[in-house]
Amino acid sequence: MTVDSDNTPTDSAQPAAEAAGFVSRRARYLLGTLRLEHDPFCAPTAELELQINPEDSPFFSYFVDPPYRLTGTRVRQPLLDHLKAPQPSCVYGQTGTGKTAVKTMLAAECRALPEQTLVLSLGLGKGEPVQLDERLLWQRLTEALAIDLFVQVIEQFDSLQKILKPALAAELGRFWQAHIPQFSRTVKRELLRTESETADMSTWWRVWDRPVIRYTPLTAGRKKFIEAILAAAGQQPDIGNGRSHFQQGLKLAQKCHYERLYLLVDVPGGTRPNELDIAELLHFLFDLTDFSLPIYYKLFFPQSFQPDAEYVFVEENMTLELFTAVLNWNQPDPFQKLIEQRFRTAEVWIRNLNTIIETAVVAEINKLLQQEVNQSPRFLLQTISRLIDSHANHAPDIFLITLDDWQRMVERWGMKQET
Amino acid sequence: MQLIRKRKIYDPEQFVGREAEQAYLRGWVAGEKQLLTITGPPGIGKTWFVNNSFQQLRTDGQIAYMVELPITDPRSDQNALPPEVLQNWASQLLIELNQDCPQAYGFELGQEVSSQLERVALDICHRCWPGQTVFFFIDGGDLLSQAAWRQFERQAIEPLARQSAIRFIITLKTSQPIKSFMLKRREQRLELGTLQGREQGLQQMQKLNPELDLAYCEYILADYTWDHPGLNMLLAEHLYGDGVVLPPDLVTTVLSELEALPENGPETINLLACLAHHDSDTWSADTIGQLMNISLAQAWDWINLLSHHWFITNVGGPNYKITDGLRQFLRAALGQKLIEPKC
Repeated sequence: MTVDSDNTPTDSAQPAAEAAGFVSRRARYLLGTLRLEHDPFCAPTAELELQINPEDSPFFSYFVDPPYRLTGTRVRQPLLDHLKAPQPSCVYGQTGTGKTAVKTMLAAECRALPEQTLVLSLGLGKGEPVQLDERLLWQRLTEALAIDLFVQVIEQFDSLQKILKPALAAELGRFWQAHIPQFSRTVKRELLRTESETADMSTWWRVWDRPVIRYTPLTAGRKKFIEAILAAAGQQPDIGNGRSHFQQGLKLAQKCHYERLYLLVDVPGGTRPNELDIAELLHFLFDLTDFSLPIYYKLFFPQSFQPDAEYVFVEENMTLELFTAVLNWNQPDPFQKLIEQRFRTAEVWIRNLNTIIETAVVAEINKLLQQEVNQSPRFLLQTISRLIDSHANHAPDIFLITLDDWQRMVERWGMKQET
Repeated sequence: MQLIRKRKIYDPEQFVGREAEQAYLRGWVAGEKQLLTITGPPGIGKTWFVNNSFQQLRTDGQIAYMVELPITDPRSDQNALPPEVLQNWASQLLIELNQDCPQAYGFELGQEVSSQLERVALDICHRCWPGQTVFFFIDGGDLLSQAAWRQFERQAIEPLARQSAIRFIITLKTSQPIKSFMLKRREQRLELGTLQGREQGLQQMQKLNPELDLAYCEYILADYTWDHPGLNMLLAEHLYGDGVVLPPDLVTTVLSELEALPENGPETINLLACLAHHDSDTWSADTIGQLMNISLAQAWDWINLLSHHWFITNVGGPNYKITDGLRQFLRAALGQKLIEPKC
């Protein structure tokens, strides 16, 4: 989080914040003066927001349907509605425009409802080198399939219970033990941690980097099922046969009554075209056919990948069936909605920026957002977060953010977008 | 000052108006959104509207249930629902559902709530009423603490909402957000305002208290518009006699019964009187600062407090007004010198 600590106004401010029971001036301003429930601007990315109160992350309350530019002739509707349809899709966006947020929300929507859609999330290059070694890709794909199948079967257990007979439980148990690293040890440890029947076992998903999207109590039925899968004898995966392992996972998904698989592939915004052979990746994905479940890929690519990706789509004659959209925050309304949503989640009395920020400062923010390079929600959130710091460090007990705060922030940070 | 909010039990004979809102509801029923939230400040008539709508849908042959919410202490936003309260609530609902739908999954009392609800939802939609819509009317979302409401969303509403054939009509306070993402994306909102005009209000007064001399009531509370259903109910109760007597503590009584008054009740009423006396309907924190000769920070404290108690509403940007209906009532009370602003 940004703190303009070199602009401390008085020596007495920090002790005063502590005396009032707040850990910082920022907290004193947001939680004390504005009486918000929490800091709605403390994390500028979807991944970080998901880590705030992970059992019930505010990320899902903050989300607004992003504006986008359509390619081709389609009826305009919320982006997520397009993406939820069983068809291949590709969403492009500049850094910070919300690709990962859309991907996370799409996965959450599919997981929340028992609509027989299994959703598989594959992050490429998030915190690791982008490698397209085919053997490794199959291994990662199968591992992701195993994790997502486990999470979603447990989440939807109440509607699947009648088909999860002992033989299928044993088969699933063997598959999960073979393809999810340290599966048995992790599950046993989490079981020991979980105490009562109403304990929410969705906190387990954090181990596998899957967000919590619903309350999932460890009921007697779920516990019995988990004990059954742990009792199934495990087997080591055959290293040379990635495709067949993946196929085995899909067959199990089909036995659990899933009718389709959505494969979500998210390439981080900072990745450059020379770091990832997009053609190779797409050809690998196009080759995912002739399986027991239909697979629809949902791609989230940096905009710099668009020319290369579209060349492959044309080459493969994919353009007609493919839904394509480009995230495009060039209007003030979605930004307003984004801010409103955060304030509404934290406290109902602040409806928009004008309530707590001088009109002249709001005009400065709007001016900044009109510059093409700054048209991203991440940039807006970072700017407001810095503005809050600038104000809170000087006058945490005054609700109104003024032009002076803005000018101090500009002097301290400049106004370049971070990537 | 005791914080008692008074509510009159729904009586279909005394229900008036709301034709436009009923048309909106019919539009929602014909549409696809899963959730209709009815919002509005306390006393605006949300409970009566959902009761009336519930009866209409039942009369039209729809499958509909009215769900009473578990009661907690709303004064603390941290108060969660004790497990046994939620358990008892769910058991009652399951018993009721099971009476109409005996083919539903054989639920066992005492088992974990959300799992039971999810299974029962699956069964009522697929075994008892396949292809039909089941409506749940949930009144009192505005009476739970925020923590309890969130818990109720996650553990009670979401498991039912996983069946898209189950649709909800829920009452909430103005601006109270639905936090569940799966519900929020399927939400439509209807903000309930005052009644449509003085005539409807007077018609309501007549039904509530046939003995009142309405012409005299209109005369003595000349600035009041008679279109706030909750205020009308309280006035119908507290105004009495052929000549109509105005009790000296009418404002205090009405405000505390409409919406729990904060502990500094007399100061609150004085500030409301000053704001009602102010030239313009809308004002900002600066206005409060000038009227009461207090700092801007203190003025915002007052705005927070008055907003929390729904005596005022934001009208965009930093501007506020006293809630419709209440503002006119306070002006009428000023006219009768029932309150005298000190500012």
